[in-house]
Amino acid sequence: MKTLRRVAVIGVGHSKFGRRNDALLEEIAFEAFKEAIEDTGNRVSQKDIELVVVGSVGTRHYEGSPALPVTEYLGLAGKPLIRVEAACATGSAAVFTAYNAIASGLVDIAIAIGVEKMTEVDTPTSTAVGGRAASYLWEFHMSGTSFVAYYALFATAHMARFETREEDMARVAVKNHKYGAMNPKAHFQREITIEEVLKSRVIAWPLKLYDSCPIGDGAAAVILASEDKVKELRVEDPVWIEGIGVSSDTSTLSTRLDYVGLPSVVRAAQMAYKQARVEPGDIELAEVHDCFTIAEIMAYEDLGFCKKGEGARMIREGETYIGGRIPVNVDGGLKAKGHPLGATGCSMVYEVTKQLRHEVKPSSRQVPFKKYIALTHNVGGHGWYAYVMIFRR
Amino acid sequence: MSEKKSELAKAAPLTISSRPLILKHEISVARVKRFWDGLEEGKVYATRCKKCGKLYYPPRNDCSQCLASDVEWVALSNEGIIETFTVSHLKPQGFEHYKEPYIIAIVRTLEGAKVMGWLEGVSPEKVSIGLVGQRVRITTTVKPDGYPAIVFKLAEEERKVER
Repeated sequence: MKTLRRVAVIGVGHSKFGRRNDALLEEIAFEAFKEAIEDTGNRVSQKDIELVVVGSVGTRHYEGSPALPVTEYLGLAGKPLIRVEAACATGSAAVFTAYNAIASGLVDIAIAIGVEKMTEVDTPTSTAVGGRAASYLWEFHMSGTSFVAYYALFATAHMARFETREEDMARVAVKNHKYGAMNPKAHFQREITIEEVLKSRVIAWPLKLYDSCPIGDGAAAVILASEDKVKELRVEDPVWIEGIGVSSDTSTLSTRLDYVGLPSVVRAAQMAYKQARVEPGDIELAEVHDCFTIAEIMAYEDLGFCKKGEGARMIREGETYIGGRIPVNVDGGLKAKGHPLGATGCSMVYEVTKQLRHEVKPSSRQVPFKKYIALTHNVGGHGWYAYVMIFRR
Repeated sequence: MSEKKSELAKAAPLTISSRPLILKHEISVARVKRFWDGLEEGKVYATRCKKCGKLYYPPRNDCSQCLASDVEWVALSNEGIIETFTVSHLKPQGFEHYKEPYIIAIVRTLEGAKVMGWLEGVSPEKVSIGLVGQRVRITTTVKPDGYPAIVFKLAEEERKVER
C-alpha cells in the first residue's frame, strides 16, 4: 500500500434507471458512457481509454457475457477488457479493478461501466437467480431463500435485539423516496408516507413492498485517471479516491455469529477510513446500500455513524436527511433510485462526484460540504462482498 | 436532459422472446451423502474434524481450519432455539407450487450449530418478534414434490399435541 499512485474521478455518466424495455443492454450502457465522456469536458475519447472494466451480474439478461456486446457498441472492442462480478456490489468491483490498474501504474486512464438488465425475466425467475447466487446447496435448495428473505432475517433479529421497529424501517423508505422524487434519473419519482409503507403488502415479513428496492434496469459509468494524466489533461479540481476497503464473508447466512449487522462492512470501512486517514465523523455524505430498508439502518451502525443498535434512532431523529448530521442516499438510494445490480456501485460514485462538485440539480438536493468528504458503501449479497470507498474534492 | 427525455419517448417498449434455456444441475453430493441420507431418516447431520475437533454445519468433508480431510458424522440434537425468522410470501422459481407463505428460520442447536429450515405449525399471519428465542424440535421431511426439508416445530405446540 506504500507506493500507490493517486487516482481521480474525471468523468461520470448515468442512464435513467427503471423498467427499461425501451432499449437493449448496450443501448442503456451507451447513455451512461456518452455522458461520462462528455463529463470529462471531452478531454477523453475512446482512444485514450487503456482499460475497460465492465461490471454486470448477468444471467437475467439474454447474453451470457454481456461485456462483449456492450464494448462493441461503445467502440471499445479491441481494448484490454475485464468483466467482473461481485453480486450486488459488482459496480464497485468494477471501480476497484479500474482503480487498481491506475494506482499500480499499469495504465493512466481506465473506465468502469456498470450495466444491468433485470426485467427481461419474470419476478419468480429474477428472485430465484438472486436466491441461488451463492448459498444454493445448504440454504436455497431446502428453504427457498431470496434476497428479501435474507434481509428480513436481519430485520427480525435486529428488531428482537434492539429498539428497531417497522415504523423506523418505513422512515428510511420515506426519506429515500423524498429524494428519489427529486432525481430525474430515479426509478421511482414519487414521495410516500409511513402509512403507505406499513400498509403495503408483505413480501417477507417484517419487510413489505415499500421496504424493498425495485427490480430494474440501468447503467452508470466512471472514468478514472492517474494524477499525471489529471495534470496533462488540465482537469481542474477533480474528485480523488482517498481510500478503498474491500472484504467478504461466508456464503451461507446461517453460519454467521449473529444477524444484526455485516462484519464484512465493518472490516471494509476500517480499511477505507485508515487509508483515507479520516473518521466516520468526517463523512459529510454517504451513499449506502439500502437494498431493503433494514440494510440502511445496519449500514449506519456498521460504518460507525452510530453505535450498534442505534441505527433506528438516527433515522427517527432525521440525522440522515440533508441538513442532518450525515445525509444518506440523497439521490433516492437503491430503494427509490433503483438497483440494477452491476450499475449500482458506479451510480454511487456518480452521485458523490456530482455532489462534491456542487453540480446536483435541483439544488435543493445538493448537500452542503465543509471538508468535501463523501463515502460509498456497496454490499454484494448478504455481506458476501463489501466495498467502502472514500472520496474527497 | 430534455434531449435525453425526447430520445426515451421515441423508443416505445417493444420486446421479442428469446429461445428458452432450461438449467437443471446434477449435484455431486458423494462426499456429503450422509447428510442427504440423514434427512430421510429424520436426522440433521453435521461433521466434526477428527484432527482439530471443529464442528461443521453445513457438513463438509475437508477442514478449513487444519486442512485435514478426516471427519466424523455427528447427528445434531433435535432441539434448538430460534435465532431469527421470516415469512416468505415471495416465492422464487422452483417454489411457486407451494400454496402458502413459508416461514424460514435459523435455529441454534444445543451443539451451537446454526440450521436453516422451515418453521411449521405456526400461522404465517400470526407471527411476532416473540418467536425469537423460542424452543423448537428439529425434524426432517420429504415434501410431496420429492425435495427434502428441515422442519422446526415449537416445543410448546408439540407438548400440547402429545397431551
